[in-house]
This record gives sequence, C-alpha cells and structure tokens, in this order.
Amino acid sequence: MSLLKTEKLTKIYQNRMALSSINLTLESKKVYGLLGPNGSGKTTLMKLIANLMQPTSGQLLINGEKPSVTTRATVAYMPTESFIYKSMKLVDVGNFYSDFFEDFNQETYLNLLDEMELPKQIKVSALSSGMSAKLRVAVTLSRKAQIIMLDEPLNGIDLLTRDCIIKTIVDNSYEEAAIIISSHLVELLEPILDEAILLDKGKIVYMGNVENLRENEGISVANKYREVFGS
Amino acid sequence: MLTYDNNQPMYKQVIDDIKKRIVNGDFSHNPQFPSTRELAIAYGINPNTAARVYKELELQHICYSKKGVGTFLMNNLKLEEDLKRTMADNLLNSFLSNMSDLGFSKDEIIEEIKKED
Repeated sequence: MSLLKTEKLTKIYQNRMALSSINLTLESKKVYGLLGPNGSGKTTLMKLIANLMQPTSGQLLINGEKPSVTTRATVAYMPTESFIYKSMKLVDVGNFYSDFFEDFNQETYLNLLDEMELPKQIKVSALSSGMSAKLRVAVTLSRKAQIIMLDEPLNGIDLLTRDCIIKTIVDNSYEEAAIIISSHLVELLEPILDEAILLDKGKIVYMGNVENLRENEGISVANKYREVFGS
Repeated sequence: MLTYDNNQPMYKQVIDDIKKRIVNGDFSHNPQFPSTRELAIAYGINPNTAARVYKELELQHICYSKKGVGTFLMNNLKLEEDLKRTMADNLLNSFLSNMSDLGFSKDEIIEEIKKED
C-alpha cells in the first residue's frame, strides 16, 4: 500500500480549476519538490493532503484511508502564513504543540531552536521574518509525521537563513517520512530532492527522479523547469 | 562544502570528491567512512543519494560495508595508487582531446605546458 495515492484528484474554486485530475503516488523516505509558478496548485494540493479542504472530485488516500482526523495525525503541514500564537514564548510553543500532537518531540524542538540560534525566552511577536520562518520549520520538523509538507519554506528570507533551513531539513527530518517541499527557488532546493513534481495550471507536467534527469538528459531540475515553463 | 554542477548527477560528484580524499590519504589512519546520514549532512545531499554513493563505491571495489557496523575503505595497498592513476588518466585524456580540438599538436601541447610555471 502506498503512503499517499491520488486518483483524478480535482479541486475547483467557484469557476477556477485549481487542480485538474492529479494522479500521484508518494513513498516514504523520499524528498519531493513541488515546483511551479504561483497559482499552479501547489498549496491546494498540500491543503487537500492535510485535510484542510475537500476535493471537488477524485480520490486521495493516505495509507489507504480517506483524509480524516486520523490521517491528520500522520501529516505535518507548514502553511505559508504564520500560524503560531504571537504572545507565546518560544519555549512554550513546544509545550503547546506537544499537547496537540502525540508525535511532537519536545527534545527535537529544543535542539532545533539551538541549532538555528533561536532564543528560547523571547516571544514569537519579537521575531524577525527570517527567525519566524526558522521557527515554523522547527515546529513542523519536530513532529515524527509520516508526511511532512513545507509550503514555501524559503520565501522572503535572506541567503544565510535559506542555507540554514535547507541544512536543517536534511539533518533533522524524520527518517521514515515522505517530505514534500514547495518552492519556486528551484536551484536552492535541488541538491536535497529525490523527485521533482512540476505543476502548471493545476496539472502535473513533469514528474521524475532528479538524479535520473541529470544522468539521462544531462540537465538540472532548474533547466527542466525552464524548458517546461519558459517561452 | 562542495559546489555542485546541478546538470551532473550529484552522486558522481560526491564520489569524485571522496576519491580525491582517498588519494590524499584522508582515510589512511581511519578506514571507516561516515554513516549514510552523516555523509548526507556533510555534503548537503539527500540521504538516498548518500546511500547510492556507497553502493557505487562498493561496486567499484573501493569500499565494503559490514552489516550493522559501517562502510570501510577496501584494504588494498594499491588502491590509492590505482585511483590516482585512473583519475590522472581521465584528466589527461580530456585535456588532450580539448587541446587537440583547438588544433594543438602533441609537441605544441608540450611546449605550452613548459611555458607554464
């Protein structure tokens, strides 16, 4: 049984087609890059997997089950927007999440704060945007979830913070998990990916193993992206 | 950290780097390689790519793995020398063929090398 399988998964907002008949199978222990321009359906796909919205048609199964409260416990999703209470101190954020998620590991969380040089005793509201991006990654990676999804973890932050976040993802992801990362910063993400999924206007236009792409076609994911989306 | 050419397979670039380190004697005192995860972290690559690096190095008889213990440099006195020879030959061949594409004869190439300090 696959960890995640979708069949003809479709989502329509009013009259806009956000995802159109997506067939996808994801396995554990792999890192997937969900790549595509704005509005290509990356966030919609993640929200469907996280059970935060319902598909218009088609099917999505996690370990053979439809998304529910049960599957939600196996999925860690980091949305693009800030989702952590601003009045909490960083050290308390860990306690808060341990109450919510059985798989949240407080020790991992505190280590991640140290590793990313985030001060534990200050309030979330006092963080810069780069620090706040790091915190969201720390909270998400502290769960031993089977599916870990990071929506645009590299957006709007400086180069060093990006490097730090990419390194943290490689070092700390739960080894058994499938990790899905969306971004349009393809070059930065490339070295840590197993598979690239290119989305355009709600459709999968390319999906493949990135090392095979380099080996067989002699091109990078970024160049594949340019080939697919360029004029 | 290694700067990667994203158009080339990552595992091959890491293998080339490890071979250079073997030639430079980095493993002569301690023949044990880092774990797959440590390798992934050190090279900033994905753990599956790191696993592939060791698989390829095993196929090339450069290292071997002991189940539950780790990956080790093959105990072969000629290994470093052989690797050095092969890598040098590859570099030399590609250099010669590039120079020949530019119209240099073998004697001219030798002259060019002598001009360099």
